[in-house]
Amino acid sequence: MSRRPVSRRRFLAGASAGGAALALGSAAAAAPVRQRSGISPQVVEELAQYADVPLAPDRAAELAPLLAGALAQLRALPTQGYENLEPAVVFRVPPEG
Amino acid sequence: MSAQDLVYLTLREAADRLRQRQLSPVELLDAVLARTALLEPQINAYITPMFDQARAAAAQAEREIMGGQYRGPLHGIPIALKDNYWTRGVRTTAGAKFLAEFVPTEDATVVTKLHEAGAVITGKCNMHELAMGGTTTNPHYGATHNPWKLDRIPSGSSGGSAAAVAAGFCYAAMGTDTSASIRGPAAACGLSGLKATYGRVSIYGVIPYAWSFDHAGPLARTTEDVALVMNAIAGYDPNDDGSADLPTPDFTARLGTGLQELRIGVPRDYFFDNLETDVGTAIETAIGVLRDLGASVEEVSFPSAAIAPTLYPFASRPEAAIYQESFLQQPDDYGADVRPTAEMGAVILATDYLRAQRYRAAIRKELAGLLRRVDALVTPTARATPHPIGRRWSEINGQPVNPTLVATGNTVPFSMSGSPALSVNCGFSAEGLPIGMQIVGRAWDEPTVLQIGAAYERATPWHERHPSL
Repeated sequence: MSRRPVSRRRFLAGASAGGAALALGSAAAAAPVRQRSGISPQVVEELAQYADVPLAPDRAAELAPLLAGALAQLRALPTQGYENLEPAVVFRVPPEG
Repeated sequence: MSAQDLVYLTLREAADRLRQRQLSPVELLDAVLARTALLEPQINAYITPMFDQARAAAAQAEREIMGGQYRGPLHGIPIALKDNYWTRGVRTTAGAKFLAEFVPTEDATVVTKLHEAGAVITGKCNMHELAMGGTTTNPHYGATHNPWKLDRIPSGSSGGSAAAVAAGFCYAAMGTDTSASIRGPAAACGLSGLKATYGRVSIYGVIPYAWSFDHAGPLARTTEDVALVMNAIAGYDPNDDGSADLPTPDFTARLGTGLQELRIGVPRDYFFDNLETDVGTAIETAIGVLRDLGASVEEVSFPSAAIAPTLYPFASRPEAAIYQESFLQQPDDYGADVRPTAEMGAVILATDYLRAQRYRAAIRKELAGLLRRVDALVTPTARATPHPIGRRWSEINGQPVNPTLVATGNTVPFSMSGSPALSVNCGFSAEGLPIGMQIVGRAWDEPTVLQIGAAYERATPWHERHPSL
């Protein structure tokens, strides 16, 4: 696969306001995204079971809105132009083998 | 020289006196231990003091120096460690209940290097639990108090290290920085603190928060002192997979060089948004000083920095969760503020982790392009001065704001990029609380960052002030 350079303009379009809103954790920012991310306390409980982490129901209720807001912000970031970008964590074979 | 003058020598000044045998390592240690005995009940900088070992090390250093075996600027100098550095035979808690009885069988690479340089290790400093927060209000080992104003946090997570230096308990301390944890405490306690380029200083034997973000580095009263510690601790370590096999510069080489040839960028968008008034005033004055020193200062744009706080939880917390798998089976042993952070890491999908790491690569590339046009960036380190212990929010100009954004909003973009970033004291608020300026350079170019910090300190008096305790 050829590696195309990332278009910074496309990558950054609309990105700047989202980051600050998330960090401030405003309820207004989090509310609409809860639906979009599909994260509910039940989903968090199931993910915790899948991860084999004990999580009481009241904990899932606390985590769900935190995760939902953050996740929706992450997934709302523009993706066009970054498809061929390597994640920062990439396995490499060192020169010495 | 008074006891107060002695404990507030810079590391360089103390080292010069030791080298010239005007002062003995035992006298120096006695001075800082006497001050610690007096003030530690108010500060709570240490989890595990190592005063007996320190006395033995100081006596050995005295014998060596008197015998003509001077090892270098750290020889005989009292230095403290954050309690996430492995110390052979000495418990290493990382501020966690889980590790209350953990006694490593070997030293972290940095600790080995400090011993080789002849440093006198005074103890293991308090920290935010598992380095996962910025207050150092530790539920298991107590809150560390800011020496400048005892009801305030010293920031974190290396808050005990910063408080120890600021209080005159040691001449430098080791911290670690994942999103802000060296730079934030340095700013909050009126110190210089360096997060070098990722891979420059080994993190072998440092209890991890998030491997791809964790940095080890020093806090001290001046940039020169930071550089002296860097000369002892930097370098390739085959035990650390992230360690860079690159030549190690002399970090002191350009400390005396002026700024006439340098271009400094000021990224106002995002980094200067919503600052406490005193922070804004101090940073603008500091930028003026850099300009007066001959630097070419220009405004630049670094738009992708604004998404760093969105990415950071997803890029870092799964890394924490894999290290903390066994801890997560005993969730009641977490402190109340760290527990949700840790639990969230366990339920983040791998795809979202990699999504964040992909954007992280984009941030690094954008910054690399920007730093081809300028030699360094300057920003405020934190957006507000430290808030009262026990309060769960920060305030900026009377408005409550998320303390995470205040403490890490300006630092985490450079954690994302792995860039070298130094915080230096650039003034005080009306309440007498220190304010930090962050100086960021190109990857592997710590000497330029240190050059700017040292030039700024030569031109300003802030680093010469000490808390009234």
